[in-house]
Amino acid sequence: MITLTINKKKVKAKKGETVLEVAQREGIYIPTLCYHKDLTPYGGCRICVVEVQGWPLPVASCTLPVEDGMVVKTDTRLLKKLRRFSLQLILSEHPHACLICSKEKDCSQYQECIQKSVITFGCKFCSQNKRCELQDLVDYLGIKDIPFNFHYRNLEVERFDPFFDRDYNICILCGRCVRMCQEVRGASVLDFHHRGPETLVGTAFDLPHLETGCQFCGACIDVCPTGALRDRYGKWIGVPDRSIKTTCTLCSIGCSIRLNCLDTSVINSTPDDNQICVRGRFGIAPLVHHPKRVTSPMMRKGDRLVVVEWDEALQFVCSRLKDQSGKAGIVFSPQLSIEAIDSLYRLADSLHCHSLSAYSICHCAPFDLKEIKDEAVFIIVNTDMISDFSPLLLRLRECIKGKATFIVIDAVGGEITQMADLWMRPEPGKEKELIDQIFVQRKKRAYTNISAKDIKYVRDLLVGKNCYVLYNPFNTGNLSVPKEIETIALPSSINALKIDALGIDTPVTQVLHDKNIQCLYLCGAVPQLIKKYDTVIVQDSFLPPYEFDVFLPAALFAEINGSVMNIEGKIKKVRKAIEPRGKARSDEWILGEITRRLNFSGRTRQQMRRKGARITTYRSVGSSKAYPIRLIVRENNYVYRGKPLAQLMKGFERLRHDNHVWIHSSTAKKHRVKDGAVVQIIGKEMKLTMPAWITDDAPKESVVIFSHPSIGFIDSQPVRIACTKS
Amino acid sequence: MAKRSHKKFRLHLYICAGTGCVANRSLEIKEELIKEIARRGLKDEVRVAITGCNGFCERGPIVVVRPDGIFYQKLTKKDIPDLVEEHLIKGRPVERLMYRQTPKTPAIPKMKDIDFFKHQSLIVFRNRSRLNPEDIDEYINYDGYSALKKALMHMTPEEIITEIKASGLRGRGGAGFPTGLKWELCRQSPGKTKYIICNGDEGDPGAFMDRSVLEADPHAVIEGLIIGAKAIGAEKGFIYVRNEYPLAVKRIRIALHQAEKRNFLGDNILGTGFNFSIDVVRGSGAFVCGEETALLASIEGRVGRPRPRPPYPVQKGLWGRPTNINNVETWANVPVIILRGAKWFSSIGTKGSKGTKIFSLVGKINNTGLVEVPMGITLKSIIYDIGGGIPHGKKFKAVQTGGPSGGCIPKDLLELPIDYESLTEAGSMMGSGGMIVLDEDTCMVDVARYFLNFTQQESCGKCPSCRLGTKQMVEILNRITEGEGREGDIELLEEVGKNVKLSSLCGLGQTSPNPVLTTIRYFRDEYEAHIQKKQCPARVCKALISYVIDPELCSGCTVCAKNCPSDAIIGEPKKVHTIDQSKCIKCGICITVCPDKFQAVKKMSPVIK
Amino acid sequence: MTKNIDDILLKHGYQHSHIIQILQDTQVVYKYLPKEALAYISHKLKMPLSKIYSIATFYSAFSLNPRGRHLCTVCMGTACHVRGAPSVLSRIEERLGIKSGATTSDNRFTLETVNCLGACALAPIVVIDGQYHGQTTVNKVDKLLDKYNGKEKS
Repeated sequence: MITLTINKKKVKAKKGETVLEVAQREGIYIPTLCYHKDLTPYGGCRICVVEVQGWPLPVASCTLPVEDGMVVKTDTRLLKKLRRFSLQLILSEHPHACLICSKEKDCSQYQECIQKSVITFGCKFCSQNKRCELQDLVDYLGIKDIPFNFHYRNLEVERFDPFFDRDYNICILCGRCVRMCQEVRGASVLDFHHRGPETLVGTAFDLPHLETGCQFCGACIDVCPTGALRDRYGKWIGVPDRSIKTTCTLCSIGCSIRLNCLDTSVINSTPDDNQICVRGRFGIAPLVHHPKRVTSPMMRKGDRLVVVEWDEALQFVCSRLKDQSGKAGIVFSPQLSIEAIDSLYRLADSLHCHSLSAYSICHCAPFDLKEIKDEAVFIIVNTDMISDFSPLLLRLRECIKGKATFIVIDAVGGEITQMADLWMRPEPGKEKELIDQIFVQRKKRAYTNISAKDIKYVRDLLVGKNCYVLYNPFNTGNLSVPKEIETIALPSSINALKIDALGIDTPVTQVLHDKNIQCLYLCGAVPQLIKKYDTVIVQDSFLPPYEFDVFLPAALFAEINGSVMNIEGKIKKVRKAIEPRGKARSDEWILGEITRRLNFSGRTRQQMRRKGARITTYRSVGSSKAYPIRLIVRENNYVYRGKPLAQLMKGFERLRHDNHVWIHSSTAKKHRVKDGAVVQIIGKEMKLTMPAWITDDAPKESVVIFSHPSIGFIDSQPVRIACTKS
Repeated sequence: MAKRSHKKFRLHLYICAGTGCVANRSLEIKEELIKEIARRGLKDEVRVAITGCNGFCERGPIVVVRPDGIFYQKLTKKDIPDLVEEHLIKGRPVERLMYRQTPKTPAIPKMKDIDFFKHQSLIVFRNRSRLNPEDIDEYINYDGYSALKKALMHMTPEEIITEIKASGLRGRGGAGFPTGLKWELCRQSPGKTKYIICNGDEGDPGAFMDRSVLEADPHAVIEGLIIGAKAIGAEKGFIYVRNEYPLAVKRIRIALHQAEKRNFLGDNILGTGFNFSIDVVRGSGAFVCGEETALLASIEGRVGRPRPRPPYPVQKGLWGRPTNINNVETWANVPVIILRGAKWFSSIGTKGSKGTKIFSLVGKINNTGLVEVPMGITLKSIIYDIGGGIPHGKKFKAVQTGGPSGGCIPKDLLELPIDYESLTEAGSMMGSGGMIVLDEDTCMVDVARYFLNFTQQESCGKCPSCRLGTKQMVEILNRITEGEGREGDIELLEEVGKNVKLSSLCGLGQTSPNPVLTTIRYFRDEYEAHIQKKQCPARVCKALISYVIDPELCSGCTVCAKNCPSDAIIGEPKKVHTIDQSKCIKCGICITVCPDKFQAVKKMSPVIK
Repeated sequence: MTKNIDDILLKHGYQHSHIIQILQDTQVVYKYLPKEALAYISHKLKMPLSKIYSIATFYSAFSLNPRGRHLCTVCMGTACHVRGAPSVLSRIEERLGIKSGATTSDNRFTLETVNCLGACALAPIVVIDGQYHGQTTVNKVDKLLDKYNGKEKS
């Protein structure tokens, strides 16, 4: 225990703490700027300086380790002068006209119209007005003027990347974004470059973030004290009046997030406790307020789609369901709330409907991150954990106190293959053989193209260490590994475990192929249809790309209260941040109404007959002369309620190219495919048309697509490519 | 004493192969000498060897002939046949190749009689002009590695530290921290793994003593490092040399290789069970890497941005381990202290500053070069006795010590004895030993602006006070030198300067305002002249001067007009010429080409309207 | 290119802490640091490109732009400064038509400055292609550049 004196007050501290940490704990305020509690202290802004008795110069308290008997003063005249000096210098490079303008109060009414000018001249033109740490500090230090020459960096505002803008003219070089990107997220996209007065923050060679491996997680924005880094979508809406804690349902991790809202708008979504990913960070607010969202009930009357009242729509639904009771099929998205899923389950039961199916069915078990032991080796198979599960990856790293090694087995390259300690790239379809080779000592010749050296390396690595195999079952099928190796299945969708527990395991293809079904009820699902139906009921937020009879506008998860179950088996709460837009209602309410009107309440649930689980998987794909290319199908888990995010938000399309077919450069050359050209992928019983994206992440002589029920249910298979006439 | 095997030679020719002389083609001279000696059949009688820097770079290429110690300077290839014929064969040293203070004074044949050398006391440069830096055996013959044997075999680490403490040796890199105390703190820091580092990032412009020591006597530094490692308990050391010293790097690598072969480095040194190895790390053009924490970052492969201290490197240094960093010159003192004793060392110098210090005497001085003098010698003695005073009969104005972190010392303080405290009191500092002499033709405002420009370029950019505070100061100084100075500028410079000193994170920022503050302190009148009268008294600042031709001295030789790059000089042959001020770009060519007998071109300030 | 860099990386044992040395050796081979070389080093060392770029732009010894056939460095150390280095630099800038830090459009000369070479007794110093030229004056430098022009022509 260390005792020191701060401002004449005796305080206790532990060895290794800094003076700033102790002062904050004791309620003694020391102003800071480049300091952030989640990042290592930098000591660069010189605002948090304190005086220590017996020391010749003031010292930064954020980096000052406590010593027994230290006598510290935090608030002397000298310190005030020096803090003002440092801040005035920082402001000499930062547009400060409004900060010291005597007419500042009178000017507030001009905020709205001049605000969105292209250049930030001062606070009134800045999206972060009233939410800026510089403003707070200027207030606290009582700065009334800046006696220095003003230098404007005159840089172009960077707007060429998706999701967020960067205005380095107002950057104060605090380095928080750099430390966040390097230390916490591990992406290391940002760093300081050049030095002295030429110092700037940016990417290598000022490359667009899209080309540097930026995950667009938005963590840098969350720590930026000024308006330099800001979400493009929400930055002009205003200062939020509330921040609602809820759960993101865009993937199976179910991160806790905060929806920041003003009146009836969701401004943006930010992390609550742990880090989140691009989906939760940038995919929610624009989705909720998407211009293509339909928020009124609609019905087909003759040739036309007509807006109707809820009553009429529900009435229609109930009458059709009653009529076609034994011939109804229900397909839903797991991204509904558990309450809604339960309602669907009961509804299906009441209707004697045996065709209840959901996307992303798989058998998987919950797991506890705390049980993962130190000195772990993770083998990740066919799953890009950085693009699909980055918050989980970060938490995995945090859990492990010792060294964690990451081995990636994947024929397809991605972000995870870049950061892996070793990337083993087998021929597509040979993952199982490779895993066998690693875990089972065989004297036979190697089947795969992986070098013996690499296999030996992994085998040696595993000795005496705990090994975990992580995989997305959709991408790998059933993996068999020795009993002592723990496998952790990573289903991509929220509530996957819940659906599994409820015993819902009828594949969607089965329901869609069922000739008996005449009435199709799509609840958050938009699969490709293969036949015509008497009745198509759509309960969703966007219109499907085919004909339907009735549309029931559903609320998004930001607009409802409910619960979901995540990949760890935990139940997490979803909380309403805004009222559902327009006439939209929660799935739970809609299903409740239908059930009520059908008068089927009160029946007990029957256990669904379990059919043999069939997981959509890909097989070892051979190729033939007619079909010389291997089609690799990966799951697209950037979807919401059946729609790929890339279809709804351009930023996601640019980020992922998951609505493109990935082709290796040499394969593209051979088949004369140009980047972006529309091609046809033709198999024995399938045909897809989509634009091409040339990348060496795709293996040679193969193409990769990101499958989703909206493009049909496609297995990996041999195919050929045909260029279309453009 | 030469090697035993060298006893057969009757004459030894030591050719200076320091960077300065090499630049003046001394190695070609060496080749020529060897050829001529062979040609004249003297191969078995005359030995030719190279040495490191002699310090008198002004007079290079230099050759010293031993055993007599005859000093030859400014040699060219054409002089060789004469030298061989007259001196080596006929025994008549060649007078025209010897040193003369001025062209009219008599030649001084022997090195020890030359003023420049006479007043020096050599400890660090003890092997100057007699040692081939690429031959470890020569070093050993001059008591090399004897201190190491004594330290490893007959002293405990604590005893070594006590001896260094008692000697009073202080860090020669600039701050002057007591070396023995630093070693002790490092030794006492908890942890088994420790490192020691030799800081050869001599970034002060105008300083080149570390370079010379590393090129001339690398083994002295290495020996010091090994002794230090034993005292502190380190098994790994680094010599950090700045990028601009390729010859120093080469010599150190050769020396390290040789030392390893003799078991002075590596495992089980001299059978004592002590292991120690040294790596060479090259800098990459960042002055800030001379700062301890930035240097550590550079060795770790990161950008050289300093971090706040505490914790100090002796507590948490390289890769978080206790690390002791000392300057090249400091390390070179260690072997001789161990060998001859702390009592002897502390008998040299002043009460607070023991031993000697190497200064690089450059600028407006007759005898430019490196001088090693005992602490306590006066500035006057260095500048006049050793330096030979100011060339061209100009008046002394000030001497800048401590480089960009230091300050200037005016004429009135010339009797100042040189030691750490006295220089600091005068507003300057010892620094690494750069001593730049300025005369009446130097503008002090321009000097301040030069230094601040330098620190600005070298600033790492982390803290606003250094990154932006110096920028604001440079802008004010630029205005002043361009004739746009305003009332209140001097006070503003003082205020900003003081604040930058107090709020900067590292030594670079904390000392960067010193040149400005000292020039204001001692030469305020020059600043005032620039601001109030738009006049540069030294006639340096281009915006404040005009070039004119004195009609009474001009003979109309037309040389200036022919050389003027902007055709600004009008005049017919044999008639007085004039300079068209509207075309003059103030390049200064006319002054340099105007024949010495006329010297008709003059500079005037303020500008002529 | 990859073979050269592989050799350099091997020499330094693929150690991250040797990145500055690795960049120095790379620059010796190519006379500057090509973008592709840095990308390759980043890939092989598994070191973020932003970090390598940060290091390459921090240390002034590194150049990210190709250099001309002749590298002309003017020392701007204090001793050189008081002995007239700025005038020498201005003259060279005038003759070559470029500012310090740039390369002539015909790729013949790159002009750079350095803050002290440690040969202060020879001030002011201009180094061309590794050759030191001491005690330069505006006149001398004129003749020097003439010589280089002459060399090129012959």
